[in-house]
Amino acid sequence: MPPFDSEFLRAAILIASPLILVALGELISEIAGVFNIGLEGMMLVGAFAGFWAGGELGNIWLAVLVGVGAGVLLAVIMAFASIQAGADQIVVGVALNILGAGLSAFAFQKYSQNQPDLFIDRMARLEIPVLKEIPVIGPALFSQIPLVYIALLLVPVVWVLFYKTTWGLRMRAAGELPEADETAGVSVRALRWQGVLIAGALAGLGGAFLSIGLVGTFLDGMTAGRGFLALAAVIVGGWRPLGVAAAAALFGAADALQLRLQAETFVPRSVWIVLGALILAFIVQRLTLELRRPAHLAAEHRLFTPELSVAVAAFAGVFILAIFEPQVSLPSLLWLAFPYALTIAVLGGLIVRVRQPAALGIPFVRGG
Amino acid sequence: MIAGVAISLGIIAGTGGSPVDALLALLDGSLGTRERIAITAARMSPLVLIALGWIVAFRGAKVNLGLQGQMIVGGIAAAYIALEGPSLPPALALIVATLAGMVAGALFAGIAAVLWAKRGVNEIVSTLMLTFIATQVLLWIVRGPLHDLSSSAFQSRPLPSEYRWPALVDRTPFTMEVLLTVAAVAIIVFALNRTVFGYKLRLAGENPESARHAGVQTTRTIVLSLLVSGALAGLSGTALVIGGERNVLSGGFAGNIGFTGIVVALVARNSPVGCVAAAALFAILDTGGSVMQVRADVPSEMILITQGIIVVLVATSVILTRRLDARATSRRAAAEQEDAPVR
Repeated sequence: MPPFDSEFLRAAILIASPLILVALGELISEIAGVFNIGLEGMMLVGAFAGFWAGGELGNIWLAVLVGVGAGVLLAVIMAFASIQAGADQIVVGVALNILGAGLSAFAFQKYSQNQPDLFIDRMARLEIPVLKEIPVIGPALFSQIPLVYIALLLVPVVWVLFYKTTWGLRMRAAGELPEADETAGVSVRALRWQGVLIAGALAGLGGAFLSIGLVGTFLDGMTAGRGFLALAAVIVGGWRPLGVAAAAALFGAADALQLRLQAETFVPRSVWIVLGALILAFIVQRLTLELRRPAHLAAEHRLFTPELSVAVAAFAGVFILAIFEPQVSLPSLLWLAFPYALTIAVLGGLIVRVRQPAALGIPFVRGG
Repeated sequence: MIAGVAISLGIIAGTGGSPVDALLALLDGSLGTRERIAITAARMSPLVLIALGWIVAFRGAKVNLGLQGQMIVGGIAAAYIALEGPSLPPALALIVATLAGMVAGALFAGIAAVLWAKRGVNEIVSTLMLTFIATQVLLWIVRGPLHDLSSSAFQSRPLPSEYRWPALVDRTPFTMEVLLTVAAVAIIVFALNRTVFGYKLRLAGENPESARHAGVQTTRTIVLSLLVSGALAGLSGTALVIGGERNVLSGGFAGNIGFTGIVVALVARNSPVGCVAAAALFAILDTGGSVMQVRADVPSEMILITQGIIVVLVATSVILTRRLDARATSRRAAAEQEDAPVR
């Protein structure tokens, strides 16, 4: 059912992987209480550093490491300013984004002046024998570049770290009730430093993924808001590893879809059907929530809340579109905005049941 | 701030450039002649407006990272009025276009404001996502609906002459539009410090809980502040289109001003008056940067780096000095206690 075929699935997973990496990093930082919006800058320096090392050092894994290192370097500034000096985390994050954009563009300009060929060899695919023969998901999941496997494996790893280790418990306490850590004799500052540095490392890795793994060169501002999509994924995913990864995967799929639709003359029926299914899932979830509400509460609560009415209307509209399959599409420039619009829609339609870590964004002052 | 410039000069030296040449080129390029001073002054105006937009939202503890998008939408609205709207007498044309730009910016910020008020959507993410959407729409508009087919570049047709602020210094983009910016600074300073709205906003931003107990409708106040913030950004975009250096709408008309303006506000530590001085510094970096690029062979991206370093330094130094002060005070207090007579 084009465009939802195995090739689409492969592209979606490939595009989602850097988002998953960066979003998991941000999750670790936020769970420890530091709101790090400097992801975009960290990704950009990671992307350039990885590209540079790929061309100069020739070893792709060394290049990945250099990208990670570059992200960590910016994260050190973030950690020092926000944890040691207690500066406003948002302010420092904004500055780091600008700094990262400037540094990477400056370095690229300098580097590209005496460099005729700016393309480097992209990371080769690593096909996993036997497993890649599985129909549909085989080529999508097991015929990817190694960084994709790292991203996918990181999801359960983070889950285990969070919920099955002492370190995870301490990290979560650092973001929820830092005083508890201090009472137990654990340094909140040390934990938050770890969180921010891990976020920097993964953002650098995500950036290097773009330059080394996806494109094979560096472009100014090539992250195109992915750092902020990762930020959104953490919120949509409800600060839980699996949810965050799922949200990142959704945004990746949206990006892969819009790339496909740019090439189509009109939107195929299957897209309307999938869209309708997503809206239907939302409606069903909403209704079950309402119906599960205790009777004495349900009485004073209208079943058809405004957002539910909007959702039903949207579903009806998409249903009609699926039947008639009108020959409409968007200019490719507008399709590029699709993932961002979807992100806003998902954030807006989300039922806010989870709350952010209680001490998120609040500098910790010992004995304060 | 001086340290930030010094570090940047160090980087220039480290990458094989001459810091003295770079600095001289920077100053000559921005303040060397009457015209250059006028250009630098003209470039302050959009930065100040964006900075004001940031400050208004930040008073209510909202982070409007999407000023760039609101600015783009404002510019688009002004260009549409100028190109597709009815022919108007000059003064009226300027008023209509300016109002359209402000309303468009406010409405665009309003999307994020309503999503926050009704659905609890984080405004940092939503305003930024909206910015990416606005950027794509702009790129499409200058290649599609408003594309000037006689030009090889992707830009709109030239705007009619009545949609053009009269120049204050001949043959420069320093126009009467700057008076609007001066007025905006005055109004915002007054509104934030001397009106009930400003007081409510500060309460809502600093301590929403107690503000609610005091009877302040915090949500409403904050939504209003975001609308004002968006209107200021829209005004900034409009100023660039009908008062800027070129009288067309192009894909890059807004440059990076929506983000640089935030840096201006941060450097000014969110002071509306201070951001005029900070904007002057950044305008000098901007106008002088291109001259520096040609004369001293320093990439103009160096300017971005300088900006980032300055903000990090300002943000940390404020806190560090405060902490040192606190330490000194507590030491003094301790010393005084020791001096106290034993009873």
